[in-house]
Formats: sequence, structure tokens, C-alpha cells
Amino acid sequence: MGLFRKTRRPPPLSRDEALSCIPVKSEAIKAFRTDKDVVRLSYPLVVKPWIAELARRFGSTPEAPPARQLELDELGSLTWDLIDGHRTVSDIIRQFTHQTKVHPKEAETAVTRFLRELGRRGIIGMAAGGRKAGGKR
Amino acid sequence: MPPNALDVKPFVWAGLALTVPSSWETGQLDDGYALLEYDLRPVLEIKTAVIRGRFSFRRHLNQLARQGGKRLPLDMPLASPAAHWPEFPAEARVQTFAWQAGQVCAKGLLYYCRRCRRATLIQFFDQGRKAIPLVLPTFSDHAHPSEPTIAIYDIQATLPERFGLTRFRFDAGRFEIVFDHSREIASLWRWSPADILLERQGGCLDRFARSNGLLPAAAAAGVPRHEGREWLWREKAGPGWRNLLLNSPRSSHHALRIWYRQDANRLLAVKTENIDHEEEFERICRNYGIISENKATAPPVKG
Repeated sequence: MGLFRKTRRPPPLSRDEALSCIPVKSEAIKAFRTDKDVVRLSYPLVVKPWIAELARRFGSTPEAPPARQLELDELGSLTWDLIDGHRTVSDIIRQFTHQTKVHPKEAETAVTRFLRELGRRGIIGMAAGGRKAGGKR
Repeated sequence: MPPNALDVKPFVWAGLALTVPSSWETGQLDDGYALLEYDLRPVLEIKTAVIRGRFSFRRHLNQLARQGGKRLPLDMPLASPAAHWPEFPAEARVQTFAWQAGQVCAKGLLYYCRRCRRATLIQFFDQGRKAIPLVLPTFSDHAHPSEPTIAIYDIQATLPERFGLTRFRFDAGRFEIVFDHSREIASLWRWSPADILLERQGGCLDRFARSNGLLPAAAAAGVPRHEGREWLWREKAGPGWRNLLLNSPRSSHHALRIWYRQDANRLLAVKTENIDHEEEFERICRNYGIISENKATAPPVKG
């Protein structure tokens, strides 16, 4: 009964593994700086395939997929600027701590929550990093 | 990390006090629990509980091992402290242990104080083990009035001995710690990063305090001091029904002070309610601050 067999979820990442991941921005994202010097992101709305198919059948498929806007606050904009495709999550946390003078634990909580939210919206992806979280400070 | 005897800071939580390398940061806190980290990795874990009934190393080690935080392997072999462990006070009963699971290894001890009937499990992970000779001799499980009541994350505060910790909440950017004694309440807050949070309130501490629910909407205007970097509210309440019934003419004071520590980019606030002596509010404010400015230079006296 292979058809109904549950697909096994990969084991969750350990904290060390999660901190050594490298956040990578999606190529479909457009980022702008607003007058308030914060970042505004424009990202394509991910529509479920059956909804997309329904829309196509009823002939309402727009030429470009619908886009959403997300305006980041000052700290979100700072974190966004730190995502360069090379820095690991722990590097971003250290840099964030250094620039905002917040406590490292607060930086870790804020940055990881922010990255998780961006990942949920498909704005960033995570590449496996090679280094351990406990690298150089 | 190599622990430098001069580069240390206090850590005080749940009635336990230690001096730790200043590079160690608070990682997690709970009732009777603390985890310290270095470079986002755990280095020291403490679990403590008051023991009711007869103390047993084996039973209470397993009990503490199961309690919150990082779990320990159960039924670890225990041994009396070898010669390289620091000396412990006469009222203490100590057994040590060591374990390894995968790449994680730890070395620790179960410390039982006969005087206060408190058992404390202390374990040092990986790199933290090198700091045992520096950290362990500073361990104290008895409160000293001259020492801080709490020294956690980047804040430390000393409250009158009668106050007990009733509530705490540590969210990223906002800490709230509440102590009380009978009807007296002392609340401490800390926000960070102050520059960004203040900018959202037009740089006004009064507006910040009101928008964060520190003051009732109808509260009278506060008094700005130090060019608006500090605001103060005071209110003297009448003796109240309780005191009138007790034939006591005492009146109580409510006060709130919020101040901006530009150098540390932090906002600090103290609010006291129903405090009988006004000077006590001043003392609590004076003894509440950022740890970096008050680094411990000498280990505290052992209890």
C-alpha cells in the first residue's frame, strides 16, 4: 500500500544547523527604498495550482501573476540589507547585534522570526551553510 | 573565549548568584532555570529547586534532570568532587557528574545546601568547562542584601529584601519584571533599541510611556528632566480604607520614572505602587541599570 503510505518528513534542523544556513533572496522579488528610508518589497503572490487553473479556465489569467507589497520597518530593512547570499543566519544575527546594540539573544529571536516570515511568504530561501554556528564572532 | 579573571560580570537569577565571563550571555530564563550561552551556543545551565523532605542525590538529580530546559541523561554515575574541583562551603553536599551524547559533552555537579534546603544542578557544556575554576567558586545560593536581586541579560537591579519576584516576561526588545510584597508592587522595564522605538513616538518619553500602558490615560502630566531624557510621575494616595480601618495614617506613593540611556541605546523604567516610603522608589531607580556599566571586579562573598 505504498500509495497511502505517509511521506516521512525530514527531521527538523538542529539549532546549529539552522544558524549556519544562508538566506538567499528570491529572484522574483523587487525591493525599493521608500522616502522614509525603509525597504518595500514587491513579491508575486503564490496561488494554489487549482485556483490558478480555475482562473485560467474562466479566462481571468492576468499576464503577470498578482503581486503583493510588503513594507519593512527599520529593523526589517536592516536585516534585509544584511541578506547578501553569503552571510549565514548567525552572521546576520552578529551584524544586527553590532549595528543596533541590542542583546544577542534579542537579535537572534528577532532575526530568526523575521527570516521565518520572509521564508513563509516565499521571499527568501535557505541554502545549507557549511560553517558551524559557533564560528568567529 | 579564554576566561579572563578581570573581564567578568554578575549573573543573578532565582536567588542564585555567579560571576561569569562577560562574553557569556543569558540565553533562556524560567522559574528556577537559567541557560547561558557563548556565541549562540550553550555553555552553562542551572536548575534549582527547594527540596521538601529528605534529600537524595540520585532522586533529586533525576528530578532536576527531567525538569525544563535541556534534558540530561538519567541515572548518570555520580562521584565525590575530585581534587581539581574548587572547594565548597561546609554546609554544602556536592556530587559531580560528566556525560557525553554525540558531539555534546558536559561536566557538572549537584549542589545541596543544608541551610536553605535548596538543590542546584549546575552543568558546563563544551567550551564552558574551561571556565569552571573561574565561575564555580563565585557560586552563591543565599541572597545578600548588598548584592543585586537580579543580573540577567544586560540589566541588573537591587530591590529591598522583602520583595519577591512574581512575574517576568522577556520578549525581544521588551523586558518586564514585576516584584511584590503584600500590596507593594515594583515593576521594571527595559526596551531596546531605544533610538528606533523613541523615533516612532516622536522622540517623546511621555508619549512612549502612555502608548506602552505604563500610565493610565487620565494620568496627570509628568515632569521632564535632563532635557527630556527622563520623565517622572509621582502620586501620593490617601491612607485608604485599609489603613483607616487599621487606624494607620500611612499614605502610599505611586511613582514612575522612565529614562533614556543613549550610550547603551536602552530605555529603562521603574514603577512602584503602594510604596510607603518615597525614598525606596529613588533607591530602586538608582540600583537599576545596564550591566556593562557595573562589571563585577571581584567575586561575591560566598554564602
